[in-house]
Amino acid sequence: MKLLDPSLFKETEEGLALVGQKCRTCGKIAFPKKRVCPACFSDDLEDKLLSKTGTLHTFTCTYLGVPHLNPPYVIGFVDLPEKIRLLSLITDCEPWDEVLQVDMPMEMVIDKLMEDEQGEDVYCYKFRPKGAADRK
Amino acid sequence: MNLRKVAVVGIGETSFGRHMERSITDLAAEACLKAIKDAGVSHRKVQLATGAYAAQWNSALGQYFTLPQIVLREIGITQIPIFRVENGCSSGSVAFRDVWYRIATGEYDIGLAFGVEKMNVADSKSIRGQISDHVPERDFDLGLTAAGIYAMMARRMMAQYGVTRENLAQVVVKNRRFGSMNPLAQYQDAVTIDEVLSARMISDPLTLYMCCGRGDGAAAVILMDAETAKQYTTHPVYVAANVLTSGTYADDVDFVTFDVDVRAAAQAYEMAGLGPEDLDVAEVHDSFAPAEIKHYEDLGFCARGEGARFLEEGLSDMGGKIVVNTSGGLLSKGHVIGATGISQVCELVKQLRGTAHHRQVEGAKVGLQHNSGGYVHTEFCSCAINILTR
Ligand SMILES: [Zn+2]
Repeated sequence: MKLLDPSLFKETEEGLALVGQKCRTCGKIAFPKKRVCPACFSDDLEDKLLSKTGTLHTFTCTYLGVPHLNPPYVIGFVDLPEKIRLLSLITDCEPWDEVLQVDMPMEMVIDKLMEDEQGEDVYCYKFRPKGAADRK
Repeated sequence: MNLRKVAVVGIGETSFGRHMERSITDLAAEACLKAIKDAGVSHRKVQLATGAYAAQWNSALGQYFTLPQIVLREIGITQIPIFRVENGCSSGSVAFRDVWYRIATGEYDIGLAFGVEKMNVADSKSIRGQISDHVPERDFDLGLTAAGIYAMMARRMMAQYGVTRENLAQVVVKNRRFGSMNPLAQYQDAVTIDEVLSARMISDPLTLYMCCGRGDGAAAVILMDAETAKQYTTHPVYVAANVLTSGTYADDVDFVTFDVDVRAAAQAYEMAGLGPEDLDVAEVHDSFAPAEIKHYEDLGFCARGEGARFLEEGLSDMGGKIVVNTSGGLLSKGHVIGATGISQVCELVKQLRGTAHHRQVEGAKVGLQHNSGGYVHTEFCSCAINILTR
């Protein structure tokens, strides 16, 4: 599976998870991984797997979007318990203007993002309302 | 450091709009020439100059290497130090700051700052691609657009503070009414709330009219230290504060504010020894309608969460407490990236000189200019603020 940016992910027993860093000096969690801790400049860092659930801070349905995605599509900010705010495409949310609510619980899925120039599918994380799969 | 008092002595602008038949050099030269004539100074007296342009989407035409030198050669300004700066949408304000600082510190007495952009050379796809993959979070790949940023902010403001779609439209109606009184603005017609709300949806809740258009144009100013300015004008406009700072990019702040704006405003008020209660007029970066409501709060015009009420009560309209975007703002002029910041300064200078004609705020003495630039992960990269007094 071709990932948009493999450095954002780590393979686990429960499938792909997003991976950031935790500073062993001050405890700051950052994503994506950086060369140093952006809070205290320490380079004593360890990998930190991020939660696959969070809350929807805000969202929009975009009708005039980036060229590689088919409009309309929905994007939002998802806040993780690790105090990381992710920009994410939102999926499994039709009709979006009835389903989506600010601060609602969300869960991560790995989904096709786009095709690259060779026509190969490129995958990335997306979020959907928690339990959306059960409703389908 | 002891800084000298600096005055804006000359202003010059082209009209903002589609200038397909004109070169970027010609546009910039027009604005610079007008500013020099307005200042009544000989071009030989200009000791340094800084030009701003972003040119991100003009790579097909080359990156305009050394454009400021090429522009100024057209009006006979040669043999002086000349700089180019880029700070995204706040590029013009950074050119202004550069010249202001070099005069305030005593390095020079007379300088020229200009901003210019040709936005209409690119296809809209490449403009939408302005948020690109040099961002580690891959915002562009994930579908983020400039409108999307402010659409998400508007959605959060609606949920958190009860801001309405009508409020967003009211910003546009106010600014387009002012724009209809500014002969240099790109859009010369006023619009109604219904027209704004029923326009094509761009990124919900933002309709087309809630998003600034793009444009071509240029703006320039001549700055002098206050002593030198006395030789050229009896109505100088002083720079009481000039602030430039960059973002915090917090993950845990409600997406209804930009910390960079809050900090820049606090620094500017302290530097000027003035507060929002002293302001008569303001030009703020209304690239998208919800931005203006957010700015009222971030710049201290009203309390947090009160921005929509500040607007509804007419406190930012003619006759209100702080009349905002009398130029028509970016929503009327169009965003002319490099020129925007200096064009905002030009409007405030007109207001403080009392020469803004039909949109003149009577007795205006203090004005605030606010210019945002760039975006990465939850916040704008750059904020520039000037407080101007007469
Ligand atoms: Zn640390």
